[in-house]
Amino acid sequence: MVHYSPVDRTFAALADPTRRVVLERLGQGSATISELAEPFGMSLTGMKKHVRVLEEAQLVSTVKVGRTRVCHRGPRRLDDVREWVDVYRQMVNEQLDRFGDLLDRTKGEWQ
Amino acid sequence: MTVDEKSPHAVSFTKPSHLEFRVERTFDHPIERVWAAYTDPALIPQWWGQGTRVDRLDLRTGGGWRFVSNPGTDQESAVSGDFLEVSPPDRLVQTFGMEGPYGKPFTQTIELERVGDGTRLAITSRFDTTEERDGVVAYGAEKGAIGGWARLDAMLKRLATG
Repeated sequence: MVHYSPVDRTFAALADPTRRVVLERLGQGSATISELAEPFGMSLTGMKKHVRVLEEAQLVSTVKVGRTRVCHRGPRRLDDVREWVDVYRQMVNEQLDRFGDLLDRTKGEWQ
Repeated sequence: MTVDEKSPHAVSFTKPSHLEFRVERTFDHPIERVWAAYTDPALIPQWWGQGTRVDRLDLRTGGGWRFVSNPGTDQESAVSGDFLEVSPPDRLVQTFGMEGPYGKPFTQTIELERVGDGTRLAITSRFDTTEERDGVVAYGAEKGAIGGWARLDAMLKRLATG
């Protein structure tokens, strides 16, 4: 059982290149689902799914205006970049620690 | 070069330019040994993590490599690339592509430098755009987090059955 913290949701949301482009697009101003879907040649249903993931991560908010849904940047900002870097650094750290341990462990076995 | 006395083996993570990030660490081993271990396909699975299997490692300029992580699971993924320059024991340039949703390869330069009796390892990753660089950091972090959970799960299972 995996519990998603806000930062996990941010990673999951940003792991998809389409969603990163959507976020960049919304940084320039609000857009409807169909305006977001159009450059990708994507169905409205497909884009709605992406927007929902971004919305759950609070990176995007949506408002229903008449029959269309308008999307704009949500309350959670990309200050998280620092948090991603921390997690990434931790991962690389663990990897290189294992590499260092291996070197220590096999010292004298071979050159 | 100065070494932080408190944590001489700390990993430093920097962004030398808007297109690059760099990871550096020092090891208390001679450069030849660090090079040999870093490029040995029999040893890579022991430190890469995520149950990685080395599918291919043709270590020569013009050669290539491919690693499969979490093989045989629903989280199986592969990374691969070409070797652009292989100059033992201090320089290795390769392309690095994540097969799947994040397809565009970037260039990694691995530099080894003698520091006293030890070796400084620097891995510089260079991207075509800043967005790609930050995207890979996010993607890598997500993969790492998943790997972390998988390891935790496996450990909890061992404790439960052991």
